[in-house]
Formats: sequence, structure tokens, C-alpha cells
Amino acid sequence: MSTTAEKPKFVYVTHVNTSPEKLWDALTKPEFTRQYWNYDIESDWKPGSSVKLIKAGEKPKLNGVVLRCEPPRVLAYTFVPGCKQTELPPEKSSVTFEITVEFGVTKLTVTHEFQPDTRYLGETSQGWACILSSLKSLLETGKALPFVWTN
Amino acid sequence: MKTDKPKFVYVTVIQTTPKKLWAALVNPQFTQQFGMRMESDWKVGSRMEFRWQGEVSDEGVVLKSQPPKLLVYSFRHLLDKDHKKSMNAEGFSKVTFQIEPMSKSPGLRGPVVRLTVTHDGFPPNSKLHGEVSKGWPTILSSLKTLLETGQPLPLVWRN
Repeated sequence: MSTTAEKPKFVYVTHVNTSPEKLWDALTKPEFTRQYWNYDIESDWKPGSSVKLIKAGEKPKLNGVVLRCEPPRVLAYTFVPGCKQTELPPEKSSVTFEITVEFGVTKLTVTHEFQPDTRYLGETSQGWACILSSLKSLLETGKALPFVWTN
Repeated sequence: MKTDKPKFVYVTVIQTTPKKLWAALVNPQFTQQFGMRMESDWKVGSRMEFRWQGEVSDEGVVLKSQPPKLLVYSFRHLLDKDHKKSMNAEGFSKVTFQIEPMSKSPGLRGPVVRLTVTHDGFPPNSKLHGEVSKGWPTILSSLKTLLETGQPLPLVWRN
């Protein structure tokens, strides 16, 4: 993780025993995200359109804008936390999901880019590890991980 | 990116118990399935041997062993055949495996553990750091798949 004056990035790589198309669906369809992310993702995925993570009866967890949508290879969107989860002020960041095939297996590379001097890096890093581990379990075993969500 | 103290950290969450994960890590029949056969008697101070596709590729010394929570070992690359980068001249770095149980939702099947792997102690501008940063996610992805599905990832390694 970089801490220079440029934008810090968190990068997470995982190989998943599934097809790029199924992985793409899991990233973009609410019936999947509700299982491994605990929220429904809502967007028409056109560049410039909004992206929201929502749960019935609550304000959106994330509000963002689609930057890139090139199925099943690249998906990118900005997001700003939509409800008060921590003491930190809201901050716009962006996340890019790249799907490739390496060593014969589908590989997902997630790059989350923050503002300079961000204080979100540590908390977000742990969050992604949980979310992406659960995504992998869902696609490989049919079930997401049963851990307790703390936010 | 800072190059003075390069460090690699990877967290993965696995549906298993700490004891099963520990048992998997110390069993060479298991570890060779996800690509990095580790062999040792696992006592502090003992030597470790790593085999990559059957060939001894790295060695190390057990520094801490607290089953099933913490394993720390030193690590030195021995092979250098495909690279002119002299990674084996970099000396020993250090690997830490931390295994922690996570809270499970009541009523759902469990249990769940968080595995944090830290690889640090590289010299400045280390080439080995770059190589292991690419290798660890693949190896740990296959470890998770093996523990959760009974089969490793169907990786096809280039030679």
C-alpha cells in the first residue's frame, strides 16, 4: 500500500474457479451481491449512471457513478460512503475490477484508489478481504461465508 | 510505492477451523496440492524445506510455532534458474501466518477463520518481494479452494 502524496491504492488479487462471465454477474447483479456483500447493488451499468448498494429500509450504503463497463473484463465505479459508519468524513474513492485468466484460472484484481492523505485505507482493506473471500466461496461452493457483518 | 521496507500482506477468510487450517499448513501432502510443499518438524529452530513442482526452491527456519494461531518462519530463495535477478542473494525474509476465528452468524453453518499472511524483512528494492507478491495470492487462493471444496484450483503452471 502506498502512502506517498499520490493517490494511495489497495490492490487485492484472487483466483476463482469459475468463468469470467459468472464472476461478472456476481459483481453486477443484486441477487449475488446480497449474499456476499450483504447489500443489493443497483445500477444499469452505463458509464455515467449511478451505482448504489442498498438494503430495504435503509439509506444507501454507497453512492457512486459508473466509470467503465466492459463485460466481462473491466468494471469501474466511484463511490462515497452513504451512511455514517465511522467517525471519518465522507470521501470519494474509486474501485476497478479487472477479470483476466492466469494459469488457466479466472483471476480477479480489485484496485481501490483513495484520495491523498486518506484515513480509509486500513478499514477498507479488511472489508474487501471479507467481501471478496465471501464472493469466492459463493461461486465455488454455492454459499457465501457466514460471518457476522459489523457494518 | 515505498521501497525502503517492502512488505506483502494478504488476508483471506476461509470456511474451516483454526485446527484444520493449521493441520493443512504443516502437512506436506496437503501443501504440495496448492503448489508450495512445506516440510519441517515444525519445532522452533528447525529447518524448513519448500518444494516447487518437486524441486527444492526455498529454505527457512521456524521462528515461532503456536498452534493453531501463529506460525513464523524465515525464508530464503534458493533457485535462480529462470531469472538473472539473483533473488537468492537477497538473504532471509520472514513469513508470518496468523489464524484467527471470526464471529459466525447464529443459525448458519460455520466456522470461519481469518488467515493473515505477512511476508516482510526484504532488503530495499527487493526483486523477491515483487515475485512473492504475485505468487502468494495464487497459492492462498488455491489453499482456500482446497479447504472449502476438497480440490485445489485447476492451475496450469508455466515452466
